[in-house]
Amino acid sequence: MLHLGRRLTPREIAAFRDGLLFTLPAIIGLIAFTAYPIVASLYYSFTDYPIVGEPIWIGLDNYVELFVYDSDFWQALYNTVYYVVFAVPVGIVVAFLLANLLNMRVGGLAIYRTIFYLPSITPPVAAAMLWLWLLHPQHGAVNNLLAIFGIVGPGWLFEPTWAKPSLVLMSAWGVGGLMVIFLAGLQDVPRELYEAAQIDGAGRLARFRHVTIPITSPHLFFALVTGLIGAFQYFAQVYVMTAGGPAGSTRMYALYLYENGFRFFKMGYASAMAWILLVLVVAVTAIVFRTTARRVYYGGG
Amino acid sequence: MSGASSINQMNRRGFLRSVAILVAAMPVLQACGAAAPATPASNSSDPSAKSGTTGGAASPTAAAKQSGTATAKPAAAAPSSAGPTPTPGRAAAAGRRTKLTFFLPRGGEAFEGTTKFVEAFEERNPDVGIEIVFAPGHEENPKLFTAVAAGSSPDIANTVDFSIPQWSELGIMQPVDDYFKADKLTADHFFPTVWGPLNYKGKVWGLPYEVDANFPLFWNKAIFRDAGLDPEKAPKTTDEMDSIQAAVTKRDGDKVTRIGFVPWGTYGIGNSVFTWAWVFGGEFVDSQAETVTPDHPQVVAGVQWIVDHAQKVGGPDKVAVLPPGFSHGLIFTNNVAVAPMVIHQMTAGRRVYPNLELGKSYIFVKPPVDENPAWVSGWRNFIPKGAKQPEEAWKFLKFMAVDPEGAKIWYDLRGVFSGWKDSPALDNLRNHPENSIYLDVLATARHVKPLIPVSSFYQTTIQKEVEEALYGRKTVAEALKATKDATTREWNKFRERQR
Repeated sequence: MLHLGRRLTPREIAAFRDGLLFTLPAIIGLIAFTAYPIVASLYYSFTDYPIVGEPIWIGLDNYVELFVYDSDFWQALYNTVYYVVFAVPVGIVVAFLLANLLNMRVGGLAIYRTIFYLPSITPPVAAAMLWLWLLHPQHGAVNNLLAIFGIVGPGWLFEPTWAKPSLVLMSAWGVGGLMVIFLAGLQDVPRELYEAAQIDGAGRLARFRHVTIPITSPHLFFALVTGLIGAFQYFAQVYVMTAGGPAGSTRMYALYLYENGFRFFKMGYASAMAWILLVLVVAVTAIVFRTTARRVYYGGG
Repeated sequence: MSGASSINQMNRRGFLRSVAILVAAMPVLQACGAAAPATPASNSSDPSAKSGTTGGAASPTAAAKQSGTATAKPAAAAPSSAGPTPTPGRAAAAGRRTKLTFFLPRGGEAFEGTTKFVEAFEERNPDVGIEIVFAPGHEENPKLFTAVAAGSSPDIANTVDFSIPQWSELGIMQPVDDYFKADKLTADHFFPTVWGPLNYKGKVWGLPYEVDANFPLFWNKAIFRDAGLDPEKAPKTTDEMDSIQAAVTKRDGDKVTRIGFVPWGTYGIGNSVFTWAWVFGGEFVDSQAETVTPDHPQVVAGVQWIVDHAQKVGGPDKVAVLPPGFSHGLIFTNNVAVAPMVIHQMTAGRRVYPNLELGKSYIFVKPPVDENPAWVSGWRNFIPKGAKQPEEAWKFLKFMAVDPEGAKIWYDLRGVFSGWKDSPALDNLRNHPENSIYLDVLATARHVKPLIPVSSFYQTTIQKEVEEALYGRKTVAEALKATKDATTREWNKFRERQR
């Protein structure tokens, strides 16, 4: 480790140099493929840039166009916020409940854990194709299941009203990764806390409410923050399944951004969209940190 | 104790913050192309990319995307969380003096067929090897655009016809007039609707290799008989079609289980709009005034007719005519009486349903329209700007489009043709008992999709807006007015930039 404030020994200098040399590929990669594109996209967001050809400086035109004239932008933003508001909580609740179930002492636990984790290793595009079938209005398993109970299922992805709820439903299917994180958290809950609570007369529900949730709150908070950020960038599934339809009801922010950049040759416009999304995501994340972080229990202090 | 836990606390919080900042930075990258997805399962707005089980059952959008290239092999290149994905492609034959790079945007059978065609070309040209790189897309093609922008253009690429105005104006393509003239090619060598898009602003931008004659009409004779209709008589007008619709349609509860035809399911809603608006005599562009005209009275009438039919059956989602797992043209369901179809669907469907009794004719019209209102679209090979070996690339373009031997090989591989009038492959088509209709349609078709520099925007917008009307969220007039306003604005901005 480098201790500043005193002269380095030749050995430390050599170690520093070697360390730098070994991390150089990563540093160069980070600068070339992450830092530079981010900075460049900020510049492009003030230009008219059709990918091929030179960007032309147009000041705030892209931002004005987006906010004032582009109704599709607002629709895409609405679609995305809708998805974020519903899919993130649904994902967390489902993953947390599953993790709790899988934390019980029953036989064959390893098998159940594997089964519930499996969907999250399916590539999103393959999963999307599968869901197209499951949610098929006519022959899909979901509507056939509903029919057993006498319910006429909706058109799901094929109806503007039901398309977004379908995506939310689908999102709950891929919670395996989150579930594993929660499971690790649950296994960290000290047994003596449950015992103490039990002695104090706490029932199952009270123990869940007053022991499980507070102790796993860092995990829940983590899920909330990363879930929000991920959901704002929701893309692959709609790109593959609906192309934003029907009637623009699943045209998510990231999809519209992609269309602007690569279909309509408005990379400057798309860059402006990316920066608006960044500001939005940072703002939402900051709000979450301000309002929720202090409720998170980190043990000890 | 407190010391240890405060470190612990710092670490967790610090970790959460770092993760949040890192992940939050990601959307910016999306605008940089680095995060662009690898491939769509299918593509919109070009018929040749879809095999068109456009649902009838339901969605004008999603169902249209279920087939065709959706099952294509290169779809494996889609982004995945399960590790690196294979990139399909083909290395050039070894030991060749010249090596060309060919960016191929199409997956599945088109990819395989083209690969075999490239092999045939290499066999006949021992000096030239062609490497195929899968670069998915058509009106959008991130890999190609970034390659051209970076000065590492491939030698050959291809796209759909209506992209030519925008791509050529932006400098993605290079004109081939010199080669074209040197080989004594002229407009007369091509069908008019094939030549039109190729020749933008007085220059030639590549050569066609696959054209779709959209559409002949097919009808199911057994359904006609069952409904008490004359099985030998095709509908000639929209009114006749409307009465067939009334006679044929059957319901089970609120679901429609048999239908005369599905006007919003003609290869996706985007293609449906063009097809039926032209049937009504509509025009989408005023080329004199250089404006878009989605509010043309006959376009409005055509779209209104689609919407009315959807409303009569209770909405697009009420049509339930597809058997489970069905992946062929609607006519082969035996639940749809009349349907337009592209040649791929016909050929593929016939392999599975050889005995289904079908009639064939031109598409019906709305009088006073009396000429075949069919349209033509298709794929063009071109030489990207900055390509290092345009002369060798031209040889390949020619072999695929206007070479007697090449045309035959291509037809044998894919059952398609380039739109070259003298192609010997057309003889096969001419003598085919059923598919000959495609040649007739190609020869008589009058329309092509809007050849304007914002064609993609126009088509994306009109599709979305008409869907709004189809699902009762807007009136047809409102939807088409919104299309006009947005597209006009877009076109003006494009002009401003180009100036």
